[in-house]
Amino acid sequence: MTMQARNLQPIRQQPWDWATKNEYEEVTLREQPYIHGHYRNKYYKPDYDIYDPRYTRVRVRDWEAFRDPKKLWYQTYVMTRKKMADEVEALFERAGKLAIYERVDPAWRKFSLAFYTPLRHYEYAGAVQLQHVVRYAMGCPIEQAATYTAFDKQGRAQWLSTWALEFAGGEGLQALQHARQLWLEDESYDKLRSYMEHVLVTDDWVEVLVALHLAIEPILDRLAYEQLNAISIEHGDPVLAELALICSEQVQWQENWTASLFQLIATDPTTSRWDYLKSLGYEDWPGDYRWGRTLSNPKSTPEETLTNQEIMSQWASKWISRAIQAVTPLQSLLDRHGISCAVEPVMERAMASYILPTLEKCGIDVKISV
Amino acid sequence: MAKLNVSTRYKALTRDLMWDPKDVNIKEIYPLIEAEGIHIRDPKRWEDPFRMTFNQYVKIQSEKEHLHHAIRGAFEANHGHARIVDSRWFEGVKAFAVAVQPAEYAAHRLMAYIGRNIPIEAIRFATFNQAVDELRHAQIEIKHYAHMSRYYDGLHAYSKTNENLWFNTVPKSFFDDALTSGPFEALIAISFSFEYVFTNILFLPFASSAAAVGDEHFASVGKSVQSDESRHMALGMAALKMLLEEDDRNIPIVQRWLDKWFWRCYRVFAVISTLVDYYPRIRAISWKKAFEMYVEDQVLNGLFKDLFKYGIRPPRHFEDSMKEKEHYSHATMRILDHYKHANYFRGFRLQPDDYDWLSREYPNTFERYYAPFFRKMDDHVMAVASPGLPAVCAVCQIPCEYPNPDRPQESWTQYVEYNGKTHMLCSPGCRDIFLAEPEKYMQWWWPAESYLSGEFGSSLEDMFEYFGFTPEEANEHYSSRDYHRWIRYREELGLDKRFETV
Ligand SMILES: [Fe+2]
Ligand SMILES: [Fe+2]
Repeated sequence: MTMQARNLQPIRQQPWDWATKNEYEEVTLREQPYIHGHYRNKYYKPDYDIYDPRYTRVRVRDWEAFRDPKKLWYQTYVMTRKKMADEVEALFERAGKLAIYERVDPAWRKFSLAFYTPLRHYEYAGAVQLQHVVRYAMGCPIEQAATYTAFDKQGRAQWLSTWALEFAGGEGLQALQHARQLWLEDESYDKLRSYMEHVLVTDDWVEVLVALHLAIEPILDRLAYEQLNAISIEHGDPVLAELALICSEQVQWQENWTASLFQLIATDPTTSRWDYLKSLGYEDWPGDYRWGRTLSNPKSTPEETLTNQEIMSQWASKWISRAIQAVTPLQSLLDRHGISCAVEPVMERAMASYILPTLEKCGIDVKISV
Repeated sequence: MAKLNVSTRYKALTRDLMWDPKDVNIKEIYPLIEAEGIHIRDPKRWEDPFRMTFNQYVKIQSEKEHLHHAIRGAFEANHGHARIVDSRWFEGVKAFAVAVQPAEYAAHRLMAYIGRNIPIEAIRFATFNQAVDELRHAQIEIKHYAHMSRYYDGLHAYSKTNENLWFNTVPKSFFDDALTSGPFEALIAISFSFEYVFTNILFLPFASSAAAVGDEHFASVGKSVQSDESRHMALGMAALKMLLEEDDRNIPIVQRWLDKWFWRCYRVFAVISTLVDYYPRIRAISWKKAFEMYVEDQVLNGLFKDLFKYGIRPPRHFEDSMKEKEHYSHATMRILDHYKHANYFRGFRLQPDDYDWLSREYPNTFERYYAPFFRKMDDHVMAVASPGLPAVCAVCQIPCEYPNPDRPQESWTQYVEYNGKTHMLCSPGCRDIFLAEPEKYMQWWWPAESYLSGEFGSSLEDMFEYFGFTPEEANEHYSSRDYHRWIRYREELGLDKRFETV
C-alpha cells in the first residue's frame, strides 16, 4: 500500500489564464512582456521598444503560437544534453584506451584535422549571432529554442576542439592554431568564413535564422555530420563518425524547430505588424499614452509592402546561393587530401531532401544563382 | 599523449574562436563597442573565473535540476503548501513570484545582449552560461507558482500583472533600464552591482525564512538559484576589474555606473526587506542584520576598500542606505499597506508576536515611528488604505513615501524641475540618478497616467482586468479567502488536530 496525501480540491485546473497543455508551455508562454517597456534603447535603434515587432520585417499574428516540436525547457534541455556530454566523454575515453587514433589512416588523419577543426569557428560564429536573435526575437517560445541552439553550437565548437586536442596528441594546441590559420587563410574556407562574417552583420533576426538554418547548415552539417561518417569509418576512424552522430541529433532538432517557425511565418497572411497584440488580449489597446509625448510612436512606422513569403523568398534566394558558393570550395580540401567524396551531390541531396521541401511547405519560391 | 592541464585545456576550448573579419568591418559586427567611451586594449589576458565547459555545465546543472525537481515533486504530492506555519507567507512568495521571476527572464535576454556585443571571449563565455542560467531561474520559479496558482489567488495572470501593474514597474523598470543601456553598463549593472553586491541578500535570507516557515519548495528554489549565483558574482568581479585595469579613462565611467546602479539595486530590493522582516512568521534574520552582513561588511567595508587602489570610491549615497536600514522594511511595509487594495499580494494584520519581534529587532525605530501605523489596522484592516493610485518616484517607481532617515518625521521626497515639468523622486539617491540621465527617465511608464489617459478602459473592473487579478485577490490576508482556503486544506489533511501527550 502506498501512502498518499488526500486530494485537495484545487481552485483552478490550469495554473494560468492562458491555456497550457504541458510543462513546457507552463514555463514558456507569456514569459516575455510585450507592452509598457520603460525606456528606449540608448544606442542601438534608439526609437525602438525593448521588445519591438520592428526588429524583423516579417509580421506574425501571434508570436506566442510557436512551439518547439521537442518541447525543450531548461530541465529537459540540460537532461538531454547531459546524456550527450556523457556519450562524448565516454567516446573519447574509449578511443584513447583502444588507441584508435594511432590506427587511423594517415590521409584521413590529415584531412579530418584540416576539415573538422576549423569548423569550431563556424559553430561558434553561429552561436554568437544567435545571441542577437535571443535578445531581439519576439516571445519566449522562439528565443528559448534559439538559446538552446546557440548553447548546442557552442558545445559542438568545444567537442570539435576536444576531439582535435585528443586526436593530435601532444600537438593538440598546434592543431588548433593550424586550423585557425586554415580558417583565416586557406582558399577552401574563404567563402565559408566570409559567409559567417555576413551572418554576423545581419540585423533582422528572422533573416539570421534563415541564413543559418535554411541555407548554410542544412548543407554543411549534412556534409560534416552525415556524409563523411561512412568515409571516416572506412579510413579506420569510428570516433569521428560517432561524434558526428551525436552532433547530428542536435542539428536535426535545430532544423526541425526552425522549419516549423519558417512555416508559421510564411503562411501567416497578417499585414499589420501590430496584430499580435490582439492575440495577447490587448485588442482594444489604444497604444501607449507616452507615444507622441515623450516617445516616438512606433505605429507611425510604415508597414512592409511585401508579403512574408516574398521577404523570405528574397532572403532564402540570397543565402542559399551564397551557401552553395561557400561549401563548393571545400571540394579542393577533400581532393588535396585524397579523400574521395564529392561535395556537389551532397549539396544537391541537401536541397532535394530538406531545403526545397521546407521551402515548398512555406510556399516560397527561390532563385538560386551560383 | 601529454595531457594538458585544466586551464590550458579550458583556454584551448574556449579561446581564439572569433577572428578579425576580413570581408566586413569589425565595427559592423560590434556596433556598440565604442558607444560608451570604454577603452579596451588587451582583453585576451582576461580569464573567465569559473572555467566551465559545455560538458561540465550540462552535467552539473542537470544534477541540480534533478535534486530540485525531486524536492518540488514531493512538496506538490504531499501538499506542502498546507503544512507551512502560517499562510501569510504565501503573500510574500507571491510578491517574489511576480517581481523576481520576470526579472530573471529579463536577465536572460540581457545576458545574451551583453555576450553578443562585448567581443571578449572570457566574458562572453561566462555571459552565455549565465543567459541560460537565468532562463533556469525563471522556469524553476514559475514551476513553484504554477503549483501555488492551483490553490491560491493572485498568480493566474502573472504576465499581465507584470506588464501592467504599478508594483511591477519597480523591478521591470530596473531591468528595462539595464536592457536599454550599452553593453558595458549593462554588464556592470547586472553582473557587478546586482549579482556581486546584492544577490546574497536577495536569496539567502528569504531562502532561510522559507526553510524556517516550512516552505521546503521555496527554500530549494532559493538555494538552487543561489548556487548559480556564485558563478555570476565571479563574473561581475572579473568584469569590473577588467574595465578598471584596461584603461584609466574607464575609471570615471565605471564610477558613474557604480553610483547609479548601487542605488538602483538597493531600491529595487525594498520589497525584499519586507519579505525578510514581515511576511515570515518565523524569521531567520532581520533586514538590518542581513544588510550589515551581506552589504556593509562584505561589500562596502570589504570590497570597496580593495577597489580604492583603482581610484574607485564607495558608491554615492551608500551612507543613506546604511542610515535607512532601521527604517527600510517598516516604511516599505507601510507603503504596501497603503496600496494593498490594488495589489496582487496582500498585506496582513500584525500579530502580537510580530510586534514583539519587530520591537526587539528595531528598538530605535519600530515602536516610535511605525507601530502606531500598524495598530490602526487592529479594528479595521483597510483603515490605512490610501485612495487612488500612488505618486511614485520617477526613477525607482516606488511610491514617494519614504521618511528622511535623519529626521524620520519628515518626507525624503525630492523635487526636480526638468523640461518644464516637476519630477518627484523618492530619495536623494534616485534624484541624482534622474539628474544624470533626465532624457532617459522622462520616458518611464507611469500606470496612473495610463489610467487617466483611458488606456485601462473606463471602469474599475477594466483596470483590474488589465492588472490580471480581481479586487477579491487583494487587501488583507487573515480576512481573505486564501486564508480560509488554507485552513480548509489543513482540515482536509487533518493538520488542524492537536495531539495531547500525557
Ligand atoms: Fe538569476
Ligand atoms: Fe526612487
